[in-house]
Amino acid sequence: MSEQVAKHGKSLIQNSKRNRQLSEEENWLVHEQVCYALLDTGDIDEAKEIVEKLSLRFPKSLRVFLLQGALCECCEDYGKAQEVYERILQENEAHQGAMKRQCCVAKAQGDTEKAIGMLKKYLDVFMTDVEAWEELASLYLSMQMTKQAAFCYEEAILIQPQNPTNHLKYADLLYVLSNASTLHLLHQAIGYYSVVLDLTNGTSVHAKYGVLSCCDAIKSQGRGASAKLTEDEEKLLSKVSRELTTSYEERSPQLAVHLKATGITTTT
Amino acid sequence: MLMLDPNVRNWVMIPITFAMLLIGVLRHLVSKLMRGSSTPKIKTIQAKQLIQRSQYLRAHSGFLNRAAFNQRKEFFCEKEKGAFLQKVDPSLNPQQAMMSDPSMLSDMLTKNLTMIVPQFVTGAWVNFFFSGFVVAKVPFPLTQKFKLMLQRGVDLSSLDVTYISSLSWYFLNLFGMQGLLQLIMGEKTFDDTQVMQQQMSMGAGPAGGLDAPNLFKAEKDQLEMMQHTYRVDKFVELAAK
Repeated sequence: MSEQVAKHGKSLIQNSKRNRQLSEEENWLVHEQVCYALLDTGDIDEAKEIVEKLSLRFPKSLRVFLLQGALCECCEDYGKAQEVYERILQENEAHQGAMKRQCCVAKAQGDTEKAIGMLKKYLDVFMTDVEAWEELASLYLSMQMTKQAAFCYEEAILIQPQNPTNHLKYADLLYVLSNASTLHLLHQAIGYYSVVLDLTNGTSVHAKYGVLSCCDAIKSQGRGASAKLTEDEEKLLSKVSRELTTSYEERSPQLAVHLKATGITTTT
Repeated sequence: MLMLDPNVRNWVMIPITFAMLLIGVLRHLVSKLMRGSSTPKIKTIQAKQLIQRSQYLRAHSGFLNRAAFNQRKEFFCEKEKGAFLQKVDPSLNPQQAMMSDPSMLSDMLTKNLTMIVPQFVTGAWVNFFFSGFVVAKVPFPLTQKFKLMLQRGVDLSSLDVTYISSLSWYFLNLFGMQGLLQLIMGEKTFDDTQVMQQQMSMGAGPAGGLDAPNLFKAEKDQLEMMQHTYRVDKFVELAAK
């Protein structure tokens, strides 16, 4: 995406004839977008030119400051980027972009704990920002803090229950968090995998594997009555393993052998 | 049939229209100048987001297990530490904010000044110089009720409703200029009717402001009343089919 924006946007900005067809306002908006795209694709020199042009035109704009900060980040000049963001926040204490970028600076510097702290501070105010919750979850995961990550995914699910990715990750975490004494987590995980299957019309292979693993874990870890699956779970298990086997056999028979070898699918 | 003098058109109708247009442009520019950059306060945003988060929680609680739901409910409603029971920043309470923050009052004053003063002046101007003219005729028949709207300033019971008096023409221009101005200026101009509506509702509640204490209380009550049901289990049955 960014590559295309960068390529076509560059030609639009440089071609003064087509450029003139845009209204002035739109022209500067294009400049901003193309600049971000160029930073994405790593064309730092060209991005620098555009930032300078924008700084000349809008010397006091916070949006341009944000771009300058992003430029500094791309040049790995984190100290200066931090300075720029702090200046933005001084002017507008609730500037979402600058707060988020600050977390990214900390993350890029390898200081995960600081990044987490910053992101927590950000989420304390902007607590309905799904992407921030997801980012915090992945930061926690990189620190092996599974429980905290699970909390973040719960929050993401609350805000966007229609997005299967969050359910999927949450279910994975429940599976990870479970042990022999907390088998109910596995039952919950199966529930969330079912939600994913429902939302993706049963196409998610990840969720199918999840169901299989959970059922397997319940059977192997539980003792006596607790090792039993409920009726619905039994049904789901046989359905999912049937579907997985047939789809493997259809698409790549070589891998189907491996699937059978794991013993995870119940052949009925 | 009434014969309208072309001089009335040239010296009454066109000048009124032209003046209204110019004043519209002027007002737009002035209000653009006077409009300070208002950056939202972090506390306001936080309060709004708190409310929204609790709304999300209520709407989608079925996707959470009991423990996770209770944890969040506690976060919002716990007796001492609950987010909805904290002392609310006085600036979030509209009545108190009005007292403590004079900038809000002056803000309102400038807004009103740019709006009322030109209206007042032009109204007086039209009333003084152009009252009593019949300036135009609408090409379609109308019911008697329109007399009040179209023939202000001309009290002739025998005059047909379709004739428009100069004062009414002024009012039509005042409220109908919005679209034309937008075309000319190429950007969104302020909307008189919107401002009017805002003023009307001013008595009932704060315009645009956030009444945090009351909203918090309502949200807390609803959260506490809520019955939590865990719905994820049902999906197993659904997926197994």
